[in-house]
Parts: sequence; C-alpha cells; structure tokens
Amino acid sequence: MSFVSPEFALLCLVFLPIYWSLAEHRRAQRSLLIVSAYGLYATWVPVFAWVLLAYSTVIWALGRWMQRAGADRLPWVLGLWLAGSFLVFIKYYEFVRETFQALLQLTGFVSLLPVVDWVAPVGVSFFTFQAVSYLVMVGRAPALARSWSDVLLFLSFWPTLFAGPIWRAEHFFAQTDEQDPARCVGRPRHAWLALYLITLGLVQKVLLASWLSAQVVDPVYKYPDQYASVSLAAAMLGYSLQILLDFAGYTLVVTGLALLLGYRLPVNFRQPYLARNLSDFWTRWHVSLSSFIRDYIYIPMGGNRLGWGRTQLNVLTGMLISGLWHGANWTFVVWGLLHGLGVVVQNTAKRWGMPAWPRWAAQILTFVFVTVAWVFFRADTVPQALLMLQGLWHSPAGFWQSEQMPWWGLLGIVALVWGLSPRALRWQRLSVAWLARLGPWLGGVLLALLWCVLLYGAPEGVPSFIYYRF
Amino acid sequence: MRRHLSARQLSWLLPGIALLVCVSWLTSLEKYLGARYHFSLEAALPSAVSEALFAPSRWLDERIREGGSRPLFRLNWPSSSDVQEVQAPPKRTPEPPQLKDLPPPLPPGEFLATLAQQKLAPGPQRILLAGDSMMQGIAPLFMRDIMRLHPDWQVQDLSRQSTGLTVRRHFDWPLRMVDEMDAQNLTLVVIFLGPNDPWDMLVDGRRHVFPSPGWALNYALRVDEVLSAAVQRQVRVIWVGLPVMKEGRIRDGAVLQNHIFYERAAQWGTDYLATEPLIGTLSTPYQKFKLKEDGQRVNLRADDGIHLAPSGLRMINQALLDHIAKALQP
Repeated sequence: MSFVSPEFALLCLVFLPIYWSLAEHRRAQRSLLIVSAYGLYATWVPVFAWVLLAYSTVIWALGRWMQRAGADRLPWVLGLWLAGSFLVFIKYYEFVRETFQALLQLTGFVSLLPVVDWVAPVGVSFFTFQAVSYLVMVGRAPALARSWSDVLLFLSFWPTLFAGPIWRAEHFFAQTDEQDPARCVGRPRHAWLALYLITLGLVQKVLLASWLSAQVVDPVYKYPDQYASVSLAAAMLGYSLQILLDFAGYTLVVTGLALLLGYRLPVNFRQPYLARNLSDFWTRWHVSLSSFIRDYIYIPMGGNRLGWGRTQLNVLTGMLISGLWHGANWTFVVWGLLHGLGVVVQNTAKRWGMPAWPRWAAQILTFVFVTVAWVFFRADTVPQALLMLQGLWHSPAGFWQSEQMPWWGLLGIVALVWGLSPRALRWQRLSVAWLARLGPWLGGVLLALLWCVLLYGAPEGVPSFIYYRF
Repeated sequence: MRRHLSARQLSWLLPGIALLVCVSWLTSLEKYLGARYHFSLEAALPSAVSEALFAPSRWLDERIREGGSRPLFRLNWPSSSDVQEVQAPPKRTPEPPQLKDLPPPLPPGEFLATLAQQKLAPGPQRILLAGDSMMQGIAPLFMRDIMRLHPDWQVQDLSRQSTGLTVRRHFDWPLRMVDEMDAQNLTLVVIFLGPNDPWDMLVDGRRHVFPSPGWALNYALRVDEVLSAAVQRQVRVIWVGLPVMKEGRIRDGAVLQNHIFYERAAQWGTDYLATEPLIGTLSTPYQKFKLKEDGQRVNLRADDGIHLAPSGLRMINQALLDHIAKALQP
C-alpha cells in the first residue's frame, strides 16, 4: 500500500488516534506499531511479512549471541556476512547468473548456475543496511543488544520501511529510550510542522514529479530517437527535477508521518542541486545512504588515511557500491562509477592546485554532471542511455524541431526549485509559524483547500515512488 | 494562543480535513474505487443520498475541471489524403456473441492458435497501438523496429496503464479506438490488454460476476464494438492474445479472454496473434524461465507474474513484426 493512496489515508485516520491513546502504555503502543508495520508490509506481498519477521529474528538472535560472546568476533563477522549475503543473494543473484551465462555463451560453455524464481522483498536494501547498523552497534558495545520486540520495531518501523531514510540503530534507540515526557516518542511532535511537511511532500511528489514524469520525461525516454536534441536535453533536465521531487517529496511525507508518531527521522536531503562539487553533492543527496557508505564502507576500507592513490580507490569502490545498491543493472554500475570518477577527477584537480570556480559556475557544472549521470540511472539499459546522450548532438529528429514539449511548465518548475531552494528552511519556519497562528480551525480549512487543489491537479491513480524498487 | 497541536486536537482535525477533501473530491474517488476495486459508491447508496453526497464534487468538476471528462490526451496526426476512406460494410455478417456456457479448459499444452485473416493494403500504414501496461512494454520496441523497417509509416502509442474493457467509467477503450479510427484514418490497430479486466462488470445497472456466461457475453460485446467499427472502416486489427499468467483470477481471466478475443476475431475476419506458444500456454503451469534451443535458461517474465521481462517483450515484438510482414505480402 502506497503512502499516497486513499486507502493509506483512511487507515491513518483510524490508526493514529488509537496509537496516541496508548501513549501512556508504551509496550502496547510499540506492539501496535509493530503489528501495523507488518500489516502494511503484507499488503504488498503477504509472504514478505514472514520474510521480514524471520530476518529480524535472526538479526536479534545474532545480537544476543554477540552480547553473550563478549570479545569473540565470530558472531559479529557471521552476522555481517549473513546480513550482507542475504541482500546480495536475493537482489543480485539473477543479475550475476545472466551476466555469467552471457559471458560463458561467448566461449561456447553453458552456465551451471541454477535458475531461482523469487522476488526481492520491497525495501530490502533499506532494512538490510539498518540491520548492519544494528549489528555494528552491538559489535562495538555488546551491552547495547536489544530485545526481540525492539529489533522488530527498528527493522519494521513503517515510515522508513519501504524507502528510507536509513536509520542508524543508535539514533533510533536513543529516541525510543528517551524518558523526558517532552521528548519521548508516542505523542505527536511538532504537529504543524508534520502537516506542513506532508503537504509539501505531496505537492512535490503527486503534483510536480508526476507531471514531469508524464509530460516531460517518460515520453522521451520511451522513444528517444523520435525527439530532437533540445527535447532530449529537456527530458534529462526534467528527470533531474523529477527524481529530486519524487524522493525528497517522499522523504518529507514520511518525516511528517514519523513526527505524528513522535519520531524524528534522519535528514536525507539538503538542497542537493545547490552543491558546488560532487563531494558536496553527496553530503546533500540521500544523506542517510551516503553517510552509511562513508561510515560503514569507505572509512573501514581506510578512507583517506592510506595515501592519495588508495583514497581514490576507496572513493571509487564506495561509489560503485552505492550504484549497485540501487539495483542489479549495469546502468547503476555505470552511474556509480561515473560519480566515483567525477570525485577522483575533482580530487586530482584540487591536488594540482586548480583554483576554486565561482560559486554559480561550480553549481552549474556540478548540476550538469549530475544530470548526465542521471541518464544512466533512468535508462533501462546502457545502450538506451548512450542513445539519449548521443542524441544530444545528433538526433534523427534534428536539433531544434519542437515537439509537444511543455517548456513553460518545465521552466516554471526549474524556477520554483532554484528560486525556493536557497531559503527552503526559512520558508518552512515562516509557513509553520503562520499555520500555528491560524489555529486548528482555520489552519485545518487551509490544509483541506490545499489538498483539494493538489488532488485536482494530480494525475489519475496512485503514483509510484522511484525509490520503492530499491 | 496555544501553538502546538495535541493528539486530541489532531484526532478531530485530521478526519475533518479528510471529510472536506473527500466531499469535494468524491467523483475522482468514485473513479478510483471503480478502477481499483470495481466498486461504485454511487450505485451502492440510495439515489437521494448519493445525489446529495456527490453534488459538491460535481459542482466543482463542472466549474474547475472544465471538460474534465473529455479525453486527457489525443493523437495529433496530420490528416492524409492518400489513404482511402472507404466506408464499406463487412463482407459477411458475423454472428453476434451468444449467452452460453463458459468454454471448457483446453488439454495440457494446447492453445488457441494465431489467426491471420487479413492483408494490409500496400503503401504506408497508420498504426495505432492500444492497450494497457502489457502494450506499454511492447510499444517502444515495436515502434523503434517498425520505424527502422518502414520510415514512411506512422505509429502512435496510445497504451495506458491500468485500463481495460471492463470499467468504462475509468477508460472507455472501444469509444476511444473508434474515435481515433475516425479522426486519424488508421489502417491498422494492434491491441494488447487484459490483466485489469477479470472483475465484475456493471452494465446498465446490472452486475455480471466474473467469471460467468453473462460476463463473457458482455465482454465479447465490448470486443465487438471495436472489431465492428474497425471492419466497417476497413481498419485491420491484430488482437494480441494473453500469455500464461501466474495468479488465479488473472490466469482464469486470460483463459476466458483469449477465447473471446479468438472467437470474435474469427467471426469478424480480423487477426489474433497467439503469444502462448512464445511465452507459455495457459493450459500448462506458469513458468518464469524458458529453456532456449542453446540450452540457456532465459527469464521471460517480470516478478509480478503478469508483465514481461525484456526477453519476453522482444519475443512478442518479433512475432508481431513477422505477423505484419506476412500481412504485407500479396
């Protein structure tokens, strides 16, 4: 069930008052949260809920074993291996099998890898990384191992279950353990902010990202050779905006939902298209993933402590893993490597003493690079991505020929994103303060009006989220 | 003034907002319920209640969504004078669909074979691709290949996700296709749809449960709307049959739908392209992978057990191209 479906809205209306009414009964409230998460998860494919339950139980048991084993590293190593190999096996096996088969075919041999017919559970990449963060936390401090229900709650917390942001175990449990009544979870926290974030997220996702997808991006990516070079460039620009509005919009919605449950989610976006270089971009885009890769992969590999050359290799490896994390496809491999190479080139230029660019030029260059890399992220295959890029200077449909490209809408969204991004937090503070000043009656009517406008402008049906497939 | 909203305040504020939104959005919600659950709130309520309940959203629809019930998108081809607009009647009158028992299952391994009864007129073609997400998968491959083979042909893709023939209020395919035939001088329509259809049908206020003889009759009548209009306008039709499906209702639906597509195509002298021999027959268990001649196993299906993986799409696309190539031969 999608977070932007009428069914989910109806369930929330029933669930939230019951949840809040149990604020004084923490155990019951958390049990309700776990049950609701599993129920929600089962609406996708019922068997997924059992997989998640079994997986969480294994992670909990490993944590207990670590607690008992003390200094023995065996359970820690076994736990990380199990958590990692679960993801690799369930998500990448078919990709590996097909690649292996294609390679062997060239030599005339037949692959012996058996065919396995399964479907990766939704959100598997997210809850696997959370499981890793739990195991690492317990590995570092065995006394921090949690109860079964705590681990179930952590790995199934429904606002983040399907597409993040990726929690760190220590941050999550710091909130659940909070004893201060003003800060403890279970009651709505900053409710006006929550409603503002949900509304803004819906505008970004349901209205803007869906419009970009239907009107600008999908038609061109579907038939790239029928569009002129300028339209191809417009579609690339459109996708850069679409993926930001889609994923950042989703994050805003779940952040708002989590606040209504009393939880504060980790930050996932910090106006990424204002980044001045690629390193800066990765401190602003999908922050919970990039910081995870930094802390759990890049730094343990040596980070920047083993010399310049090794640092660049670590960067490339980290970016490659980041690319592969998104899916079993060569397009993601190329996307990750492109970003890795971009950071290496940037580091090389810095090492050679290249002067810093003016801020606006650096922002434009970074955005153009990111946009070109998104072509591989969006395309179904590497040849399709290359066809798009090739079409920029030589398209069968010409250079200028103008199809039905809705330029005004696209440029309007461009202006909106770059116009509001630099002062987004200020806008947020002002809007929330204004809503609070209006009070529940007027504020409620205003929100209802906004949601009506939103639904009238939205496309039919329930739009899907790009990051749900990861 | 208190600036923070308490749980108690939120408990009435959120339902209040939801109520306001629902009342002003009820016509869209009704469409959503119809498309997703094949349920009509309007039909379920007493007429006086539904009239009152729907009044605000209808009022808003009339004023805000001016012309909202019109097609959201329309093909925009230049009119061509080189295509004959012959409104000739069909050569023979096909038998209308009959209310009869549901067809018995075919023996294991058997399927309804391709029907190739039409020839395409020489010269450039104007092709319309119609259907649901099944066609959405094929259309980009087909368009790319056909434009490479015949640069002077025109192909337009009208495929639309989550559509079918069962729920007219959601998307009226027969009307839409006839509309396009008239407006665009089509020479060929390729139709590939079905998995959204195995649900009860509401026809003139009467519910026809899926699967039942009444459902089959009404579904066949909708297929006939397309085929009769096409035959009258001398537009060729290739109805692409459904391959094996994984899940019960959709699989049962595909069995019945293929029978209807095949039978009506046979009656009207149009074409039916069987995908079962390529992807998997409905009379045998579902299989995601297929063993190729070189001994390799290739994945033909998407994870949902309905849609096709790239290899499966390529196979159907090639079959469609071959079918058209044969129809071009004198």
